[in-house]
Amino acid sequence: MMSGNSSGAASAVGGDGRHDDDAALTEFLSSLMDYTPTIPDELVEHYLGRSGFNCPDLRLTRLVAVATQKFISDIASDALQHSKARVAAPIKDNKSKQPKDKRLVLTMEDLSKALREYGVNLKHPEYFADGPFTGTDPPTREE
Amino acid sequence: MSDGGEEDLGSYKNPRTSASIQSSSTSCHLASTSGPDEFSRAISKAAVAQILQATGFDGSRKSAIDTLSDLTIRYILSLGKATSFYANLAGRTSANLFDLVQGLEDLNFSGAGPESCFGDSGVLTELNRFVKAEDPVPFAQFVPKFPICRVPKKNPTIDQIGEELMGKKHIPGWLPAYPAPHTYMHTPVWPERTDDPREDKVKQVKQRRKAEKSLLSLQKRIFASGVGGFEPVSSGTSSSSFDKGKRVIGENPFLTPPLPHGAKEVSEIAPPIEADAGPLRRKSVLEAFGPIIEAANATDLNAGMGTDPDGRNAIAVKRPVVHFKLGVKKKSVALPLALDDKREKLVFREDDRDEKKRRAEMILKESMDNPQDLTLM
Repeated sequence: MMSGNSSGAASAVGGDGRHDDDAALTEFLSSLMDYTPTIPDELVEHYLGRSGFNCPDLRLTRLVAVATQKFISDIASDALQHSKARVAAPIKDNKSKQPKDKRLVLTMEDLSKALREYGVNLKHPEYFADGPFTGTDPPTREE
Repeated sequence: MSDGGEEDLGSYKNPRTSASIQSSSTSCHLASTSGPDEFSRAISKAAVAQILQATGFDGSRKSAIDTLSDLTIRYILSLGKATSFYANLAGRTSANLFDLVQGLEDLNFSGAGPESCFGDSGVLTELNRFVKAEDPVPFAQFVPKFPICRVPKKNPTIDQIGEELMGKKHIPGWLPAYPAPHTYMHTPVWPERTDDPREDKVKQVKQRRKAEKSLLSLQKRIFASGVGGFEPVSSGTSSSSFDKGKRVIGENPFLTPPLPHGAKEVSEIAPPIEADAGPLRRKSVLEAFGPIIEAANATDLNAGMGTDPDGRNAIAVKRPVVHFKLGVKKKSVALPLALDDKREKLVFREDDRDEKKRRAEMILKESMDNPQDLTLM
């Protein structure tokens, strides 16, 4: 499958009947120069260099950054949906949690639910304390 | 990181499970607190927080954001690894766009078969859509290029500085320049004077005043108890100036012109007739006061001193004026205790009068120590 992929890439490079695709590709790559991803280029370059990727082209770095940002924001939006669903669920008899739930806070339960769909098995031991105030209710650790 | 990107080719058709990245929160906690890439992890955390904020979250648990930032790093690493793998597979060392797209397709996007082209590839199409849909949120802070490799700074050479080497033509210009002259010149440091003459003077005056005060109080005590007769101010007529406990401050007895011989009746001044009665004789104080103490022993001191100016008492009262000058050099009171038997008999005849005797000795010593204070008062 993989070799097939690469051979397909080679054939696509060699193929010259798809000028529209090439134009779209060039346009997309040039649009990446104007798009500033949230993940800084330096971070991406650092970790790409550590993984053995070397390419001086800034557009490829930007492409990696955009892909990573898309990955993370997809997960985040899924987790947001989970969080909203959890808030909208009928409230149990715990009255004290009500004002806290007004704010949308990313928790490990929502995150792990969202990540499961992306193939990331997040095993979060529930008895591990997040911070010194986890057991006590009011303060939520925010970033 | 080998556990991070585990590409499952069997599940390639499954759109969502192509990359199964095992991540546990404990490992990311350990990695995020310390380690060589603490800085980059902090940056990643901030970037993830910005993405979360843009998504619509208000806050996040620390563990969740740690997990997400760890996931970001692992994603970049896995993508880089996959890309370089495809580049190496094609016989190249540096990756290009197509390797990256292959890596992306392997990693999390699928749906595009090997026959699909790049223009309508699922990966690029989705990314293109993402780029067009989302407004760019640049990273909030300036990130320096890291890791920073420190190259040690070289010292400038003589040529670079343009230093003139007078008469030192043998030194080539490429040698490092001389350091600044203050680094090798001898600059002596003089010890600074710490004492202040004005302060010293103030201190001296204070000490002197204290001494005067104590002397004054002592004298007052003594006079109050009736031994005021030893006062050296008794240069006037003996009867008028010798009221009990009253000090005559009018004139300095040391400055009065000397009386002619016979003008003042000084009878029975009997300097001790010992063989060692030279001018350098010591122990003259107590010796001189022997008769006085004797008189004090014999009669009541309070009654005999001031009231009756004639006879032995009057003489005993006047005598110290003469003997001050003889005994000015001597300061010790303890010495007379080692007198010979004769004087010992005189002094220590009775024990119940010892207190008064001691007082007399004390005030005598005080007045001998600083006669100017005595006269000033």
